[in-house]
Amino acid sequence: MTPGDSDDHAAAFSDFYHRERTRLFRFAAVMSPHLDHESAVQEAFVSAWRHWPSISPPARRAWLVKTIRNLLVDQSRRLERPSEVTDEVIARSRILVPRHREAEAWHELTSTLAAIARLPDQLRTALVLRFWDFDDDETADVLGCRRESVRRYVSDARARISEVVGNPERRVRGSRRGKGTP
Amino acid sequence: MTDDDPDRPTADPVGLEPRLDELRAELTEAIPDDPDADDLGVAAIIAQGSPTPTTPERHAALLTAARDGDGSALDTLVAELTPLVWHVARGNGLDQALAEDVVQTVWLSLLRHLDRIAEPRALAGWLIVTTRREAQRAWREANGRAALSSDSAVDVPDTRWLPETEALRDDRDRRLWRAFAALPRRCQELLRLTVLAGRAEYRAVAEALAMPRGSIGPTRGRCLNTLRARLEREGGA
Repeated sequence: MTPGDSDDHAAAFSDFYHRERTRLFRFAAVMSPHLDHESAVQEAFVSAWRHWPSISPPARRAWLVKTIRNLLVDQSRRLERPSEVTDEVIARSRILVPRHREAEAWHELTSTLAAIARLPDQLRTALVLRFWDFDDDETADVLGCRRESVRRYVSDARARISEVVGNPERRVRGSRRGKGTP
Repeated sequence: MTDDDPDRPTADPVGLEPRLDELRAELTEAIPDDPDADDLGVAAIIAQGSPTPTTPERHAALLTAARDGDGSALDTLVAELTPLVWHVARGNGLDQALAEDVVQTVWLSLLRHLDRIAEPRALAGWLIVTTRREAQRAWREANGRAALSSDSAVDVPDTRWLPETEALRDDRDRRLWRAFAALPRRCQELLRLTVLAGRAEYRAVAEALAMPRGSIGPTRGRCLNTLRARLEREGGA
């Protein structure tokens, strides 16, 4: 053993943090825009460091994703009414900044984000990981399912989102939605 | 998105993809890739994630095992106590490269003195004292004069060891660190050490700062009050 071992751990951790942080922050933001997603990511990194030597290097990112997801689930359970992720709640999260853009386009983006946030957990995780370019094998590892299931989850998720947004012909009606959205 | 997705054409009968692409572009801009190294962020995570050394007994047991040739015991000690050593080095005004040298020197020195640490339960204290001494020596060598950490300087504000401006995520952090920088040097070091070393190591901290052990808690309280007052005065609370 040399004193270099812990330096190696710290250096590997630092590299990993710098390489992955942005994508993980983005993942968490789309998973739960209305929750304190930044804290969840931060907390997950702390937890990763605590378990660093025991996490196999190829599984590190999936480990982080799983941990972030669990922390977000914990957070949502503490909300008073966890099921009410309305467009308004998402709009208030201020992830999307309503600048130099038509109100309607902004509304569309917010509705899309809200529709994603309302998906059942498995579908949402699969979709959001695909959204940020995680490959299906890694997603399968996160979800504890087969690669084929990941594809099904993603297409189910897309289908559900499409029912709410995405149809250009529905844009006009879309602006009147809002109140009826669960 | 990956290209090998045969489902996509059928899954996108209503033009969802462009909407998702737009959303992705928007979020990528809202959460930009930060090219700057966030070493303070990493240090904070490591400090927070390292098991709080509330157990000098455990460290003592590890040290004893290390003496008997248990390499993994030594590994664990180094992993758990490096954040403390690192912060003592940085807290004494060293830049990153010098601090890294000092951390290395301190651990090598521990290896050489494994059998001579009289009180294994005081390992953290030994490390703090050794690191301060090494840090001051390194500072002297680099600057050609004694470090500012001599007693005359402990009561003046110290802005040397502060996170890079870019590393601070929001205005609250900036206000907090500005207020922290205005604290007397002794307060800064005391807060840093007590956060990293934990309550059980107050004795080591007291030794390192040449303060009576019983005054660590109350002094820490006063330092925190000063920090709070500064923040409130700035309207930051």
